[in-house]
Amino acid sequence: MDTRNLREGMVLKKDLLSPFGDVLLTKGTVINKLHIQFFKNWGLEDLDATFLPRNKKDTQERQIIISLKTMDKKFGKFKDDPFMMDIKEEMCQFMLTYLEELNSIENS
Amino acid sequence: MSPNRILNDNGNLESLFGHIGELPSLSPIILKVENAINNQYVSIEDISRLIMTDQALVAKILRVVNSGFYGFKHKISSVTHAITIMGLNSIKNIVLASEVFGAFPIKNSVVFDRYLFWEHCLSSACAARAVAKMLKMENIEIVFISAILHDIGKLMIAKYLPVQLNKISVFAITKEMDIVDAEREVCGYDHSKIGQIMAEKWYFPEILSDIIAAHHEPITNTPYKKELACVKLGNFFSKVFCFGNADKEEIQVVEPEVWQILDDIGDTKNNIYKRIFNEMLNSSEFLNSLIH
Repeated sequence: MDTRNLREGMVLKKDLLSPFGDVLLTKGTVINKLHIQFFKNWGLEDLDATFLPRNKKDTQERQIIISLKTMDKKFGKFKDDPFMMDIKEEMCQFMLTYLEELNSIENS
Repeated sequence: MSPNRILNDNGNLESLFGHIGELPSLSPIILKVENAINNQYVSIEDISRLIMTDQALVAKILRVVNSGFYGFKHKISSVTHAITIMGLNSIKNIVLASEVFGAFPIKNSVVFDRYLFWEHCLSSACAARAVAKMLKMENIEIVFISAILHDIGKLMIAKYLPVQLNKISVFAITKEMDIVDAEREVCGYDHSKIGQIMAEKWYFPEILSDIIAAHHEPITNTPYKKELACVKLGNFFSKVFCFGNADKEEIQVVEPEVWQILDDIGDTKNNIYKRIFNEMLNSSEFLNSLIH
């Protein structure tokens, strides 16, 4: 595995070991910018690790969480518009339900 | 000036774009393909031969149809094959989309991010298409392409009027204005009017330029109500679900008439939203195949 192929959001399938056998990152770690920078700086380009591509469920979850967080701001100017506030409420409800559903898929 | 007066104003944009020698033009191949498709005596082979005169275009079409967005199991290796399984209209739209992408080689700046711009357009398009599909509309592809191109006027502003674009962003923040109002204040026109003029200059089908012109207008003003409603909903969902540059812009108001078309689908609202959301997630595949 060439660590130059690493992308943010990838998930480690097994522990990542240094050439001397030390555990650098444990399995399940989600790769972030700092990790990538670290590998680059230390020239650790050919470590033995397997990565899962960023999976669909994570992408779905992340997108919905961002959307939920920004709902108030996005609908700010419709405070006095009951129709738009209903729509906002409905969308928030949907996002919460869908998040739960995505989580229950994982647990089952 | 009221928005309607601006839209009724048929004056040209020379005062605004006068300093540009020539506005971007699209490759003549689009018109040729369009004419060929409308001619009942032209065969699929004729059309693929026509497209094959432009090898760069062939490469683009094959890249798009082989992208994960369409998810075909087998590799599609010729234009004829692509037309046969996707239909002429889809191919025409891919040609149109890739030519428009190519017509605006534009650099990113603080106020304009090209990738996010297209991400908004494509996610809107995927959402609009999902709605049109669920409504079992006939012209799904035209809904898709008009949603891709609905903000084309913004590209014009970003490319040719960088000073005004900065001013628009500043106005939008400091005066707490809608982007559309800020555009009208700074340029005299908003991006939907500029987009309409470009669409006419490029001889887009009438329905396309109408939808581009009306995407911030009340739905009653157009003969293409259903199509426009889909595009408006696409635009709305793209912003609600934070695709593209959506976080910098506020959501536009959705009229009850627009929202009601979701009731005609005959499925639960949650199922509808789920489908729209997931179709939008796929849009990045389409985008990557177009811009790389």
